[in-house]
Amino acid sequence: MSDGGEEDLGPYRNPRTSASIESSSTSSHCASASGPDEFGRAVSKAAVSQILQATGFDGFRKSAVDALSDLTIRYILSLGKATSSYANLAGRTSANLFDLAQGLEDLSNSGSGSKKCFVDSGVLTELNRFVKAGDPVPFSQFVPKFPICRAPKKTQTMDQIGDELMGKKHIPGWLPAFPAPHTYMHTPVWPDRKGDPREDKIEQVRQRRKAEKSLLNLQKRIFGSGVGGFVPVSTGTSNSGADKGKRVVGDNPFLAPPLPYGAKEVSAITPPIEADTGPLKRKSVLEAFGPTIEAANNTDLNADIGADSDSRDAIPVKRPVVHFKLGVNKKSVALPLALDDNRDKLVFREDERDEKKRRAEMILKESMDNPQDLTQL
Amino acid sequence: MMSGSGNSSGAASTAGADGRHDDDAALTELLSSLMDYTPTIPDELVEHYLGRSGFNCPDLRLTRLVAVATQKFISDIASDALQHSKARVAAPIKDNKSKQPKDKRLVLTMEDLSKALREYGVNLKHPEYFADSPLTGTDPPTREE
Repeated sequence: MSDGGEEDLGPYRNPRTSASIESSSTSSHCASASGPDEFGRAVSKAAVSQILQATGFDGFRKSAVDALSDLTIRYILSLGKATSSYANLAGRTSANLFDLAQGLEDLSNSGSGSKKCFVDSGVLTELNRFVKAGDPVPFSQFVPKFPICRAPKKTQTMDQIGDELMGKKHIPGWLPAFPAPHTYMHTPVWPDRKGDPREDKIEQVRQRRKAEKSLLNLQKRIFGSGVGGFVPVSTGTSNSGADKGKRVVGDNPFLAPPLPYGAKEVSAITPPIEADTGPLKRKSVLEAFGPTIEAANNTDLNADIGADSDSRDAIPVKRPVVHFKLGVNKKSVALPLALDDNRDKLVFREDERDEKKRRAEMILKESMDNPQDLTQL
Repeated sequence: MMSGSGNSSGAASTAGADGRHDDDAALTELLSSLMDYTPTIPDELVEHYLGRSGFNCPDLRLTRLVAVATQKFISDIASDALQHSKARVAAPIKDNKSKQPKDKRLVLTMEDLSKALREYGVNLKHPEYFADSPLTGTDPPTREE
């Protein structure tokens, strides 16, 4: 058995060692594993528990094993530190057996205190005895070589990125590359969809047809139930208005960016001829849509896509009058702001019709004047 | 005087020479026996912590020697603690109807461990119970230290 640790074992004993172990033990030893040393602590805990089992214990408290494994790690660290300091003292960087033996004697409790050659001291003989006596109990599990050093991710240099220096000769090529422009700028993102232009066109025309069909059905309903002429819409432009009504925004050439001046030869603008014309020029919407309604009733609208799309996509050579309307987004029963005086007649006739028809008429009028809203039908 | 000291030094030197010869034999024997003995503490663990403390040695036998030394250290402490726990179990024979020292499981407790470590110069103190309120750790200003 060993004597008290405080006794002086001679000039070779390092009194700091035991004191340091004491002071560090009294400081709080955290029960929970923390920090990067967790794996080492866990392995030492397993090893210590194996040693305890070999000693003869049936069980142990978790806190006791934690303390003991912490002590094991401290012992190894202290031994390594003492050994390396002795090696450095002798002017060497790598330690040898004699350094280790001297460090062992520093940390040991053997009470020889002899001034003989340290090899002859009690330490190594005790070790010898220990090795001879016990049967080895190897560690139960496989322990990989730790800590695992990950290779650092190398950033690319300018040379590796490529010749993007663009004549910047003042920048050496071994410097790390500039960050990609998408990290500091808003760059356009293109959708990865592979589009078939013909498929897209077919889909567009199909949607347009659907809109027109619903519009025609609406009109049929109105005209079928209501008797009498419908209020004529603005003059002189009914055809173009109808054309506009049929066209859906998806391929609206009027929404294309404007051409620069003089790029295209255009005809002169025909002024609207409102004052002269009487009721002759006014056509009813039914007349305007007549051929279309017949066509819809007779033929299948979905057939014959190619020819129709060509005719519909043709931009009219003669530029029609464009009527600007205020308050176009209002989808309500309320009247939109009327810019021409033809609407006055509508006001008078409202008193004669019932609510439903009036609403239908308003919707129709709004839709025909706003071709871009047709998709909502 | 000089001759006497010289004589003693001479005697010591011859004794030292013989001792060195024995020491060499003992050392080589120890090192060779080390390779047969596999210490319970794995080599990787020992190498890791020795590297952290600056111990630089490519020789595996030295690493094994450190592992064996550590194992001896721990097993000494464990055996001391075992003695203490056995003494505790065997001591109170006030009522011999409840306790059976032979069947009692030997459990390493902090008390036994701290008693064993005191002889090694390690001062390990474990609080017996915590007297804090259940609100410990929630609000620093209200927690009582």
